[in-house]
Amino acid sequence: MRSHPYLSMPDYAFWRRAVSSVAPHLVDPVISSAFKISPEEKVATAGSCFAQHIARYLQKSGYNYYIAETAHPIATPKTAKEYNYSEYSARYGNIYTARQLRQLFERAYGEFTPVDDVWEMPNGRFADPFRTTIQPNGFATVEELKIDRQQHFSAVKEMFENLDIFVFTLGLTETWMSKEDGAVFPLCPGVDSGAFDEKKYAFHNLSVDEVSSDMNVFLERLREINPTAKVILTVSPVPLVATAEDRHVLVSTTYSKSVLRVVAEMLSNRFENVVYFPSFEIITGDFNRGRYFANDCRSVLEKGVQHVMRLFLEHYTESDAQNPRQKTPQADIDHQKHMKEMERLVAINCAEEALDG
Amino acid sequence: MVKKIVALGHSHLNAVRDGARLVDGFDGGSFELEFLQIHAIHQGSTMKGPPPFEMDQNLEEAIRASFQRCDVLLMLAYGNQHNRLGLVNHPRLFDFFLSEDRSLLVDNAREIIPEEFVKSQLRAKTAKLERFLGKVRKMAPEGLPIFQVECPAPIPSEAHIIKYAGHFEDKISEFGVTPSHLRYKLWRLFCQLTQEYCSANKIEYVPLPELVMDDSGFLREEFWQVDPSHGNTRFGKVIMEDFVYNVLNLENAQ
Repeated sequence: MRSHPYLSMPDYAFWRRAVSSVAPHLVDPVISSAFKISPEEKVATAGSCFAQHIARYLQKSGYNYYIAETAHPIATPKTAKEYNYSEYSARYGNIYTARQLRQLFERAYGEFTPVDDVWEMPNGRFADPFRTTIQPNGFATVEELKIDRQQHFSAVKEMFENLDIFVFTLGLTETWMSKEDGAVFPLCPGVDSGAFDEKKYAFHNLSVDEVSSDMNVFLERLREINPTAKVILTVSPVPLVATAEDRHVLVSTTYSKSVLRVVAEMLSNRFENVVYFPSFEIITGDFNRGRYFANDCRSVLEKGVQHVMRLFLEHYTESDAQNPRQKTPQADIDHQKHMKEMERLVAINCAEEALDG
Repeated sequence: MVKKIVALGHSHLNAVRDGARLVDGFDGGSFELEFLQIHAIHQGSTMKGPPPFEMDQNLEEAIRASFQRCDVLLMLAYGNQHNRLGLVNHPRLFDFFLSEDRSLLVDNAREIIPEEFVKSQLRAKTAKLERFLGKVRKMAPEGLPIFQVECPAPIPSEAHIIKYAGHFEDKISEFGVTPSHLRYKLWRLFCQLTQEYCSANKIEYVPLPELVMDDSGFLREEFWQVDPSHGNTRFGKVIMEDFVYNVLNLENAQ
């Protein structure tokens, strides 16, 4: 009788049983989950643009999506969204690289102060070089920007210190950095704001060792300030919009995603509190025949996100807590009550003044 | 020729109504005035409910009728929406940079929020004013000059607001009066929005005469009403004088 290890392997280990004979929308590469998220646990997110989908679904699902930097309730929901509040757990915008995440942590804790402090915009207003897109039309003054940045850093620290689960989506390896101090920017200077100067800025494509080192530093530091924090890593399935390497963008995309996927594997093996969630495989796996991408073969369609998030909620949340009721934040309740009372009082005051005499 | 002015408005109209009587040339000299106090029209009607901050049939009929004996329409419509937002401190203290004047004080101890947040809330709160101005313009005969006078600048004195808090007393004791520098900025934003609405509806916006404001742009003490946000009779007199003799350029026939 034949005997070999494959005979005792479970169905998910076999392509035919786990992929080719399964309806595409039912393919489930998540075989187990190291932990379950309870409705009370605070889940924070950050990362490249795909992380926005995760944030959106977590908010919708009614889990405790942790927003440490909330918009003042005076803002209408539409305006708060335009100013990129609640897009992530703090108002840092997209964090594409591991280096960016590490430097965000270091900047928030005052361990790194980049030379590039403020960029002036063509409209005479000011942009934060590390969050160029968060403030439509930029900040009115340098002072306003710096105050907002301090508020932001306070929120970032609060988030890292109080989160229970941190979902981070690794997006890119290509980055632009300051030649002077190594600060990395979310966008190449000059693309959205700032001015490109080859004497000041250089392109850099992070290696496996560099991404691994940045993430190791970040995870060690997170563990110091928040020993019970758990981390879920994902790799963005969204291909590069452009490469600065002198090669085809398809080749650069493969390099970038491969590095990130390898590092995610290394980290989940090294750190007990770190797991990898395969959203990359769900979206890019050829079992779905590309149906999760739009015609540009880059934008992820809603049905792809649904597949990812259905599995995420199924495997990483407590099943009896599905769709718990979304609570209105206390600040919003206070605001609504205050505004309603003020409406009434001003109306009474005006009516009395009008009818006097 | 005597100019027939119909003055239409909410609570700020009262100061002008009382103050106008003290203006040289009032009532047959250079101009004649008729007042349409929106609250009073509502109170005289059979309608129930809160004051008519929106146009209703009764008010519409009164305004239409007034157009037949009117050369100029002067409005002091609404004008307290900024106080809803900031007469009393918000439970989550805030401040902001006003792009119109970046040199104004900003209290860094408060949460600094984007100016657009305040604007968006004020826009939501002033939607009725925008509709009201549009409706009046639509109802008015072609070519009728319509003016909207700027609402009173804020009273800088916290002591005065506390003393005459009236219905705001409990709110003020709970949250405190919003600092004057912030109330000033809220007023400026509200004025900007009102000006925008006027411009969109071909209504001439009349800024406050400098005489009523101190060097910092607040309402001078002699013009404070004995309440937290309105101007008094002296304020109304200056507004009316400015309107008839500086805006309309009427000659004093008396």
